[in-house]
Amino acid sequence: MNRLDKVQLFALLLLSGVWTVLCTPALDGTGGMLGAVLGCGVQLLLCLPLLRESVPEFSRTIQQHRWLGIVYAAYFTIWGSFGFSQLHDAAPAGLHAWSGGAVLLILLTCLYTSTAGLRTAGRAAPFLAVLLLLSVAVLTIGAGKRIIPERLFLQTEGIRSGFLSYLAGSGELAAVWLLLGRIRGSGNPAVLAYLPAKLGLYLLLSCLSIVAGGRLTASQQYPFLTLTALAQPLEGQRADALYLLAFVTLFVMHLTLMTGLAGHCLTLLYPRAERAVPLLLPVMLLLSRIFPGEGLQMAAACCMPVLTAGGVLFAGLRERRRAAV
Amino acid sequence: MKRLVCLCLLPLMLTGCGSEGFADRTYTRAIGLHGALQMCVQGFEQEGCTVTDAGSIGEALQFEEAAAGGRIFTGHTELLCVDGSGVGDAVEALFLEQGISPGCKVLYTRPVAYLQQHDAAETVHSLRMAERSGLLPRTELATVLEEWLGVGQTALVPVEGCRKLVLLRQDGKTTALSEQACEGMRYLRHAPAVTNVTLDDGTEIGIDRIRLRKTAEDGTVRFTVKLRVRNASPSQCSALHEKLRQACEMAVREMHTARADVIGVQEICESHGIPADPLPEVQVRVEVQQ
Amino acid sequence: MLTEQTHLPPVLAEQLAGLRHLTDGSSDLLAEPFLCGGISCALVTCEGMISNAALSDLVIRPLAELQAVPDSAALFRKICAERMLTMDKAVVYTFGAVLERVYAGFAVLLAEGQTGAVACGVQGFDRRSIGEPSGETNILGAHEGFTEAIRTNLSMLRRRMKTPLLKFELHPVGRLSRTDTALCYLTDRVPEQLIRRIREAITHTELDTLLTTGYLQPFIEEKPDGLFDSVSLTERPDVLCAKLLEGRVAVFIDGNPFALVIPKLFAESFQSLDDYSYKPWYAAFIRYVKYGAFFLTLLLPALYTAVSVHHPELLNSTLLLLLTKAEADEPLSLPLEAIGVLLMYEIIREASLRLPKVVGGAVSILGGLIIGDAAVASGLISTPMLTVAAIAVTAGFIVPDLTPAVTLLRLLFVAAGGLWGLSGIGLLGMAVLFALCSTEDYGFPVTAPLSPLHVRGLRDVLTRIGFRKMQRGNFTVEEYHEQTG
Repeated sequence: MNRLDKVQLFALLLLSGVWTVLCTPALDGTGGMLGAVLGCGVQLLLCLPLLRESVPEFSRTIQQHRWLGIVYAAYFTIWGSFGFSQLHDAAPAGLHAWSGGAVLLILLTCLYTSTAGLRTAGRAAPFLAVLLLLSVAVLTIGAGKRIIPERLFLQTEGIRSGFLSYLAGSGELAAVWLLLGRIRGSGNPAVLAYLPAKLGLYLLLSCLSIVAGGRLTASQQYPFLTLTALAQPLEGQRADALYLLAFVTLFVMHLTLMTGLAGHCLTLLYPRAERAVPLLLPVMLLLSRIFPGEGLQMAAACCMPVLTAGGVLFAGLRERRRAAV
Repeated sequence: MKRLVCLCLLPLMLTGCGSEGFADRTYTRAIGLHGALQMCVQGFEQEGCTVTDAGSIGEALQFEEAAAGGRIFTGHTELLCVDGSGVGDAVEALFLEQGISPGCKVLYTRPVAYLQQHDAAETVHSLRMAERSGLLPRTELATVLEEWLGVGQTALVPVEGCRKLVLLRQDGKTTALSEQACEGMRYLRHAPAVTNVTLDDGTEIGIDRIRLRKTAEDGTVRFTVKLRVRNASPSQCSALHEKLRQACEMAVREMHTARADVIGVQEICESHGIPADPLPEVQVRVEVQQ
Repeated sequence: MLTEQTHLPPVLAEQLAGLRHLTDGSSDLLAEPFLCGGISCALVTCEGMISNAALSDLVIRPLAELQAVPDSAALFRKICAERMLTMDKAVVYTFGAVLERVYAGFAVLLAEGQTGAVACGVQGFDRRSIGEPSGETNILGAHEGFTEAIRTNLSMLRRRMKTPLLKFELHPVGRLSRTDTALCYLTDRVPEQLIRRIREAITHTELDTLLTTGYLQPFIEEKPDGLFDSVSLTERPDVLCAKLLEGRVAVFIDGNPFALVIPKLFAESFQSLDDYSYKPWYAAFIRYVKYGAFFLTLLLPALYTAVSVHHPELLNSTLLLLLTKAEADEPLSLPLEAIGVLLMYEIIREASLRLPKVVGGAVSILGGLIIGDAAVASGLISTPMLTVAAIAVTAGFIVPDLTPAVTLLRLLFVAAGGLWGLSGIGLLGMAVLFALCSTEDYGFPVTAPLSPLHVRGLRDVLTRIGFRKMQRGNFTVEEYHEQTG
């Protein structure tokens, strides 16, 4: 895999993270937002071992401890299959239908994009990040007409559930160690920018849902998707179909990243597996159909802190022990 | 792999060639709902409406499509006519499942009779003009649905004629507001964009600015309406003050009687930690400045 | 057996016989025996390739003035060491080399007793004069374009860059055609590794003949099957000089007025020389018009189709009624109609390119009035669809560099939009974006300086800063180079 730069790393992580944010199943009010801020703090703590100067290289560690490579590959596969679950579960919210043809088309597109490699995905990510920001800007303008500021007030309820929900939706964090090893120069600014950027987007969408969507978004599943139906920039038309562009591109990018990461882990262990990497996509789809989405998310959420910080700490300890011997 | 993907996609590309176009659909401009469930639909450039009886919105639309000979597209619906027959669930289904715009206007009337005799385009135009000139508070489908989810489960809906308002519960129970209460409601929902107010003696007073402030103190919710007038004598200012105070207080009184909240009392209560059920006392203050 | 690699025998008659044998008596090969300094010699030329005046002034008269010499070796010594004859002079030893020179417009002197031949350049074949380039027109820049003669093109570059750092390397390509290609670069700006890789690509090209840039381009590009070119073409010497200054490499082909330039950046397709002649604010405005036009030409028919078929709620009611009335009686579905109109445009465009100029005007009448007007009047095509297609096609004229890719993608987007709506457009857009981002040559990604981000490069992409600032910093494209691995 060839080198990414800081902007590409930031965009990759943000796009993958925002996909999960967009598919947030429920809002916990301002308490949930506080919980998300705490969750972001925990994410920063988890990333601290990765931000040191001398971080053990991911590929070398995997080649020395092959079981770890399998674990990471399995993790990224599970997180990718959870993405399929989210797409299926969010379909009734109206933005994108779940049908045989639609899934086939998405699968074919992801097959193509995943064969292009992580470097190409990295180059494409900043363009899609701009599209995302434009969509958020249009959403904000559209929601502006419906804002009732009195709806936003501090609550202490929902902090715990908001914290857990935000943390459980941060599966892309486990990719940081792998991606930092493939960046030109230091990737710390990208990681340190991505964490607050994702939080900022989450807080913005939550705020808009509360002040513009009010009880309507609070009562619906997938409040952010319902917000797109409410935040209409024009009076006579319903423009939420435009957000479809951002929705599908986010999903494809998320899946491409997960496939690329899982494929990279497998290729490090078994170089001949490179050609079979696109097959991970049907595997992810199959897993999403067999296991419930909550189960997949739970499994990934439990592993995420371990793989984010634990993996690099483990590698550092082993290196130190080897050096001492 | 890339070639295989492209080869798979190419034949699929041609399957869209028989897809439906504009003329294969009927675009609804207005929908009327009555009971459980009678639906009448008025299309663009159509006089009168077609009426269907069905068990649900989906079923009703299917029957309409069969009658029209093409797909019914509700995404451009501009007007929703409802009456007091408990069509709350049907309205919600129209928004969430059938893709009606959240800015669709809602009108309280006899749906079938109204749509058979009136042009929905003119009605929508009248409603919009009335809102712009401040005669009616802004009322849309999204607002109605949200108010039905509140403590009072009551929404404020304009009546046929674009002058009066009713409080419409989701279960269909209706309370008509008096003329004075309707006037007060204009100032309590949002600051209206009126440029002048006519006193009882016929004098017109020019308004520069209107501000609405909602606060809560000591368990009481207070709405303060501040007006800045121009070229008005002190007696005219005090007459205006009295008129608006009475109108706002009448609006609050009638709203309380109906156990409704259409002016955002619940939000104020929640933000200040005051219990919103039952709704607390609402005090109205009017300030007129030169 | 006599082949092109056979060395010249010392007998003049055998030399002439051998040449006639290899050319199978081709009538354009002229061989005139004469005595020069008392030695039997022959002058071999190709009819129509030489300048008779140059031949007689530079070769025949000096040779005729030579005094008697003892032998042919002394004759050749005199000619090679003491007489200049022409600037372009070489000694060749094989039949193939003799014929190559003869067909390149040289006059080759054979002598009795010599196993070599002296070739003197007296080219005088007819060539097109320097004129306005066929494409890449501009208002404020020069109106000169490259021609088919490679040496003329090299001289046009040299006139603009009077620096010894500008280097030309000639390499013949083509087993049969032996076409001259010239590698041009500034030695202080281009890394040796890049030159070496391009040189290897050119010299290892397996072609029988090299007639146009399209023959050579697949051998230079690392991914010749890609949707987007990673090598650009230019017909303008001023544009090429600007690119050479940025550390790029140009390849000329004898017989073709276009120069290949490596590497290419996608953003260059929206740049023209006029941008640097206007004020920065106007140039920046025009750039954004071009960016908008690109999206318009690519996506407008697709968006129209997608919105009409799948998302009519995006249209306001007035527009909806207008389009419904216009499309009411159309016999074809919208996607088919769109594809049909776009294909018809391509047919008309291709016909207007291929038709002789005398009848070219008939295409405009046929295409515009008869097909367009009659098709709408008869109800085969609707006016909105024709308008949308016309706007898209007109917008495409702003970025002619991308015409091949845009033409194909436009059709694919229409099919995707008609079939799957905005999600289809989004997914195809993703695939196209990935195809673009994966395009690179020799380590230069075409999406630079946007991705990977180079802030300094954005000054000529997101805007056009003033020339005083632009000249500072000695920018070269080497800054965009990515190491692999």
